Amino acid sequence: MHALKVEGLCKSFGGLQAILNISLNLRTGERLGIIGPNGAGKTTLFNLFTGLLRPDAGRIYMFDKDVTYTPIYRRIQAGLGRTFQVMNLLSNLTVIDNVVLGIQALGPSRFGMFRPLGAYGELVDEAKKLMVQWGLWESRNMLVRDLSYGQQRCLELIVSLASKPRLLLLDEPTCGMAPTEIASITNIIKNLDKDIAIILIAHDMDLVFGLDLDRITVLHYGQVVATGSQQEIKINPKVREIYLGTEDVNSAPTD
Amino acid sequence: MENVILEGGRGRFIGYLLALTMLIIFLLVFPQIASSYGIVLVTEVFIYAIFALSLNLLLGYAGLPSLGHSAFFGVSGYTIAILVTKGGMTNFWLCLLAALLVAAMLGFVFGFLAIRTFGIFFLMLTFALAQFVWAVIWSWRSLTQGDDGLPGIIRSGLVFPISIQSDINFYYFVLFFLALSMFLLYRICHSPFGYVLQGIRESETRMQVLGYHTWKYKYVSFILAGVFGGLAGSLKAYQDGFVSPLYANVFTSGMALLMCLTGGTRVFIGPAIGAVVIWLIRGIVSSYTENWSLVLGVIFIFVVMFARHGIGGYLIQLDRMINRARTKS
Repeated sequence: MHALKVEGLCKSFGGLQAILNISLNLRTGERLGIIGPNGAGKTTLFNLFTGLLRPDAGRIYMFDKDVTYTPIYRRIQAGLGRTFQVMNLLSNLTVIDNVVLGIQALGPSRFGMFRPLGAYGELVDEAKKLMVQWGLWESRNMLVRDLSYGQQRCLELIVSLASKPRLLLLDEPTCGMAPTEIASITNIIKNLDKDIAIILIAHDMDLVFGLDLDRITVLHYGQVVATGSQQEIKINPKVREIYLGTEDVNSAPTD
Repeated sequence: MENVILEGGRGRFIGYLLALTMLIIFLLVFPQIASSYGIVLVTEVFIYAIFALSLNLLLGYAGLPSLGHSAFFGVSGYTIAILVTKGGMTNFWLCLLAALLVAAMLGFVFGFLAIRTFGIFFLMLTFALAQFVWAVIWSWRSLTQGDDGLPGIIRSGLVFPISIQSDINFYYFVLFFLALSMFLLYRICHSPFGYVLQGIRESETRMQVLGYHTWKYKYVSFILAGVFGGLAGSLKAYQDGFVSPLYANVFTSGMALLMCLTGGTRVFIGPAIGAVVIWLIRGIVSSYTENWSLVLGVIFIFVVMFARHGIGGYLIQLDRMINRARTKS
């Protein structure tokens, strides 16, 4: 079964062709890295997968079901999870509120209108488990906007895991973080359940090469330039050209 | 999520309980010691408190700034007026039920149109829809008597369990509805539904990507706010014994908005505090000058420029300070 299958996806904004005829597929549990310089269309691609944007042409299948025009919340219910590159958390709510809302999203209590949210013990217990596991339990009662940047990035990842996705889209999870914080994020990603299919976007090649992903796809001006194993990508002349310019073909990409 | 009141330990909980008990006793005793004008004024405050609290479900919780809440106030008030004066219906509970149903139906239709937008567009669209209601009331003379208004709404007979003909009994009656509305709205705001609304206020795309069908939540909250707003309009019609197009006018919406902002939108009780402050200031100023809305305008500018979180914002700060001092000692 494919966690994700994309055929001939196109998207343009006015005169700008952001995504041009992209096809790719991802088996369940497979881990794919998407790299490419700024403006290559990486985040646009995620917005199409999530449903925040509608494609101009092409088809998207999730777990073998056509979701091209399915609303966002139904894709999430089908097992999709995603993080954002630019911080997108509920910043005036507490940390535990954020996690509980994430867990509750697919549960039967989500339309409850009378019992206080805190009285749903099973939700709070599950949030506690998740937060203890990833070291956020101590700051549970802090407002998200008072957390450090690194903690917020960490929470972003945890919240996306709250609904137990089987396909996880990570948009630059370490963007703007200090090296020690990057280590803790890569640790979380490495320790994720092996059944979760992951697509990870990065323009930082170190991160991608440090995560032993199954495959890497290189995107440039909205098109797939190359797909292959880490070794294949490292020695691919086209990729070198994109990242290093034509003059400097002898030195390898950052390794 | 965790109970904020209990978080500070027993002492804090007892403190709040004591304050609440004193307030309730005061409100119950008040009509016995106040002038008849005072009773009418405070009854009005209760009604506007319900109205402002219902608006805050949209404004403070879902982050939807509605400038059309008067539409619900107006249609419910007029439903009562038409049923009583033209239909000869004397049963209070049936009239109220009809008025709330009409408010819900209006929310059903207007919500469908307005919820598609957000921010300033939502504000303008709700404003336009409410002005539409106002215009219909103004020009449908055969039914509403236009700008003459509809007089003769009698608080007739026995309204189980008491007669509400006297102002004192009506005071207690409205106090009961205020308590009931506050209880229900409090539970809604602190339920999963209420937290989802707050999440939508913070970031709608985040909530969608978490898996929430956000449109449905906003729609339901719009209808709910409309029903509670309709309750306020119904009670006001019974209090005045007379309805006029002013009920549905933007002035009424603006008043509710001002109450929410003055009291603070991020504290549940904020809009009720705002209703007390604004309506009492109006009551006092209007006994000196006709131009009391000028004073309200100045308050509005002051709140927007210098006290963005309203009185409720200061209360939270005070609460934190006391709590910090207590835990230190």
